[in-house]
Amino acid sequence: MRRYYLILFLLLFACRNHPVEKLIIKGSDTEINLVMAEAESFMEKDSAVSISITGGGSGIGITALFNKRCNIALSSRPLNPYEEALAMRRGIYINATIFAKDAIAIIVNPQVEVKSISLSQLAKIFSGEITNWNQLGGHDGEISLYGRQSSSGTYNFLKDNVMTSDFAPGVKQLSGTGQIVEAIKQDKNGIGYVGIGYIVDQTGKPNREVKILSLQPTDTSAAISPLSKLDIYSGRYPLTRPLYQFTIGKPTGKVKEFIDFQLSAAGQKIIEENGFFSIKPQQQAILQ
Amino acid sequence: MISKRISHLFAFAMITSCLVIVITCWGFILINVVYNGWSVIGWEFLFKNPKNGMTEGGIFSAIFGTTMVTFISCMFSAPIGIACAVYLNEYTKDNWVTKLIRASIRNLASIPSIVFGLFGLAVFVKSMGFGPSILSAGLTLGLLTLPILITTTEEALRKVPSGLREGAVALGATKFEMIITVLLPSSLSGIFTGIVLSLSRAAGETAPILLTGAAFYSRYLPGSIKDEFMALPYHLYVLSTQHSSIEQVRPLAYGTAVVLIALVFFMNIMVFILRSKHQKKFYG
Amino acid sequence: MKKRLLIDAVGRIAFATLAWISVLILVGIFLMLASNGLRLIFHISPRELFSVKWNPSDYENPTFGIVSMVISTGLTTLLAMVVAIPIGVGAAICISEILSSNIRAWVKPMIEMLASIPSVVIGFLGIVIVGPAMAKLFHLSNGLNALNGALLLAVMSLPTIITVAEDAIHSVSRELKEGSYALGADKISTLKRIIIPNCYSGIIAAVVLGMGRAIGETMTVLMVTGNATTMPDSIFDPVRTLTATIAIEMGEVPFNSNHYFGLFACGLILFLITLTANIIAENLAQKLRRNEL
Repeated sequence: MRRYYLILFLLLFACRNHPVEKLIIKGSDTEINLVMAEAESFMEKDSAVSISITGGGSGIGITALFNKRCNIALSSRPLNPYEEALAMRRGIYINATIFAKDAIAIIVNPQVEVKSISLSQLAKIFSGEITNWNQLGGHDGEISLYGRQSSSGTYNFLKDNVMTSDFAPGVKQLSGTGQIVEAIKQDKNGIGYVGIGYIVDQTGKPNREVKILSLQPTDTSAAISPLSKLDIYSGRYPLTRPLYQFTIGKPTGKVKEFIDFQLSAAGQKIIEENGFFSIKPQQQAILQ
Repeated sequence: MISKRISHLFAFAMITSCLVIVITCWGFILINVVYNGWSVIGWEFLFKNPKNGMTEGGIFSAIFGTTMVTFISCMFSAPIGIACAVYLNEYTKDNWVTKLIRASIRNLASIPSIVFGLFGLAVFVKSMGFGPSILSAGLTLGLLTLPILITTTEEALRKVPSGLREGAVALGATKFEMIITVLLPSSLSGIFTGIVLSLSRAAGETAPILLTGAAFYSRYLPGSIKDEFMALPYHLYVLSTQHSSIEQVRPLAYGTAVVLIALVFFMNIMVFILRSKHQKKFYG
Repeated sequence: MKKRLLIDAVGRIAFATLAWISVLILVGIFLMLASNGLRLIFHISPRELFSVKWNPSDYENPTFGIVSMVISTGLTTLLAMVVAIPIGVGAAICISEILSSNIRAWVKPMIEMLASIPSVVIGFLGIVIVGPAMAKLFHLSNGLNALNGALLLAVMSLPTIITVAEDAIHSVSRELKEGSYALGADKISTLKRIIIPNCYSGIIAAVVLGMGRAIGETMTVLMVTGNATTMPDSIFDPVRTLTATIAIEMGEVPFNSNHYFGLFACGLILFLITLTANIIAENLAQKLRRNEL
């Protein structure tokens, strides 16, 4: 019996390998796979650091940052007024680094005939005002809405920039963007919002199992597809947004090294390979 | 009477078909998982860490993380749980206090696991400042399994015939000596059953570790118990909902499911063997 | 001799301390649940609590209506039990009375093992197999709904129900059974008139345990029910249970905010539901046990 406890005790200490610095990153589901690729590449070059990443949504990352449970919070949205007030109350300075650009794609099942919609129609669809595809020129089918949960930066981005009223209560709130894509592949009436990185492969070719809608910024303008890099960089595609990484105070030490790596040419190349859009080095903005 | 025979035959058929349905469902589940996951299992899968965006490589960090966290949960809940069961069974009288305590233990065993997760987040991660770590998750799982352990240990202690206890005391042992030298050894296999059952429960739970320490990805094994860790059930969860190429990693998800089920089955078989050995040893 | 007595006293104190620690921990859990959950009442009106809309993370106009989630939890659990109870009890009867004791010796442990299979695996299969199959079968556009969750919950609570019910049925005394056979009754009549009436309490215990399992299940429902905060109109609507709500929002709540208390309130409600079910079942079981021979 005593030998058993001794072995357990030894095992606990056995896992201590060479001293590495630990970096804990939490937050955005949109960014998580991208940052995992960045981290893998970074750790290949630098073996004295161990990065652990957890997702769940931008809100979870920001909350963890405030509670000092992580070094970097990944967020696909800026801080909201409540969070800014909280930071001010606690005397914390939250540093924001923009490291990539994202486009939110509205995807539907390939069996949906609609090819493009306007932003106001998008708002009406997700608020439940438009309920059937035949109201948009498609087949007769009740629109099946897919979205994220309230901790998601993408959810909040849409809420702040597109929606004019609340999301419909019937929106299915799935645990991750990946699950949304999988569900819409099989749901002939499905529509959902995802970060573009989830539906294009490394060469920029879109996933053929879902259909990407083109968006009209106003009811009368031309429809723009998120697959055109030019339209994303010029801002013509209406749902582009910067992707943030928040830290408490200016980044230092390994945190700074990792963020600098992501902003370097090698890091930005990884961003492009994962379907997102790089920011030119001059455009890197440090807010506040 | 023929109609009675027919109705009885019908009842017989219905009852048997119930069991057939159960076995078919569960058989389908197991066969489907093993069939789809079998091809992925191999040396690399079981002993290497994930690489290339978790689309290749193995799940060793998840296996290691799960092992560590279940050990911690056991190290916390076993001494406390066994001591509690011994105290309730041997030292206290059967009055309303102990009845209330036993009832509370039974009711707390049925609290949903996510509530334990919430509790673990508030107490271990936040208030005690352990942060998300193997320690926090292990303690949370220990809390989850504590009621189970107390109940099974009490049952094991009750099964020991009072003659053994009285004999030891008659030979001059103090109560404590009796417990240590006679009672616990003779109920050891029952206690072990409880420990292994609670270990297998802890290994398979996802909800309590969601926010108390499980990580989507971490390249190296956790260096200490204050680190985050990858875990098998959480890994299956993220591979099927959060990964960027869910269809591509589906075989890996199946493989993870196979490893999880195999782990749980292995523990249960151990329990089964222990129990039958104990039967033979004590009851001929 | 004195040394041994000293060790005995110290040992007793050690056991007592550890025992009281575990009792205090368990009481502490309940107290924390209650105190944090009830604190919500001090901040919002009961009428809002009993409304339908749950949207506490909206920073302009948070709402804390738990009704739709309670109904969702109830719907999935009820559906699951409607499926699981007849099949579970039937299977238990079959194992206990119809199978030979050789076969029973390995079927029973096998079913006990099934109870330990992690819920994520079942949820995973729910996404990959049950969802699409259900969509095809019922001509729905997708399979993420209450029925999917209920079926999976039923499958998960079946082993628990079967194991406990089978124990109860098998423990009906041999004299009763053999007396019935000796009087000429066949198996089914004996079952109907002697065996089952004598283990109602055990069967009820089994059902309650299975129901507790179904209510408290988190990961499975999180993955397959679609998590829509709407009030379900039919079993083919997506639903969000209390457990899924806690899992989803646990990570983003600021400490000691109304939202935080709201989640504890959900946990408290879950605890009260299972507590009530346990109490009813125990009283019922006791009453029935008195009627048994």
